Amino acid sequence: MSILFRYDYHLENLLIQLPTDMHEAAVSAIHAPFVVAMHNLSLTAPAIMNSLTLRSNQDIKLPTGQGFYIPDLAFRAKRNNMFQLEVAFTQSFEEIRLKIACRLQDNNLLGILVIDISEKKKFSSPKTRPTEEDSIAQDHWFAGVEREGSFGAIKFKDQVWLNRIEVDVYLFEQGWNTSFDDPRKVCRRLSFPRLCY
Amino acid sequence: MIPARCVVDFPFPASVTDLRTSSKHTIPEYGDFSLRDIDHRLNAIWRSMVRQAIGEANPNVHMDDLEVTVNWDSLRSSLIEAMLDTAHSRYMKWVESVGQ
Repeated sequence: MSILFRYDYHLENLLIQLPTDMHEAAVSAIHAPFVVAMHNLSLTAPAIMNSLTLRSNQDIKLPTGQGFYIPDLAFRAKRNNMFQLEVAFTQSFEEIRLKIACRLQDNNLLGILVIDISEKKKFSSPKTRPTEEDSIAQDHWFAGVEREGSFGAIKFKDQVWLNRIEVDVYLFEQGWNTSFDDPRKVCRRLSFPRLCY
Repeated sequence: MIPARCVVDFPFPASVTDLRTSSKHTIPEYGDFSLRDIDHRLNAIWRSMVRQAIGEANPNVHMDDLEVTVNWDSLRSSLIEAMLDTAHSRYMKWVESVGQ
């Protein structure tokens, strides 16, 4: 497991992050098809792999020239940053907008795909103290979740352990900045149908 | 300019068991933007990247044939598994909080 130290120059924040399961799942799902596409391309044009690279967790200098940032995935073609993926879990949309707008000042960057995962209610651990009976094997825990019935927010022993999740996918393309309109909301139906609060 | 945006609103299965046994899910489209629209734009970007990387034309690379196919179902399944792991991890942290 790698610990990420991220300094957002434009936000003046130092974030020390352990990659979350949610974050890694989304990165992997986008990483895989691009790896396949690159492999297919290399079959007919092997030399292209010298000038087209896909990296994760590589620091990139901000277009302003001050500071660095680390996209979750970064495509470079002939050393130019061309395309990036940013996965956000529990980040504010305003924070995402600022990040994206700053990065898109690099005119070579064609677009940034953003997968924004939000838990619609902040999780808080139960106030009650656990007992010895609560120490159970993982298999039993998952079986217990399944016994809860209809799959919505994830519950176990009448306690919600993960609230409903909404996933937004955005593609911010070159030319966008924060003075433009926000993305249009096209649907607000939630991922999980069962509401627990 | 409005960025493409799509709320990934997958038809969630009725239970975790259904999730793990079903193999096919459909992705709905909403409004003007959809995952297909995003797919279309991603492919345009992919071709531009390849064009930039190739520089001079390479007779072996046919731009129209280049395609990157994001499996949105795979994203959904991965996220649901990650949600379960996250929930379990939170539970374990709570259990292990005894004595702290």
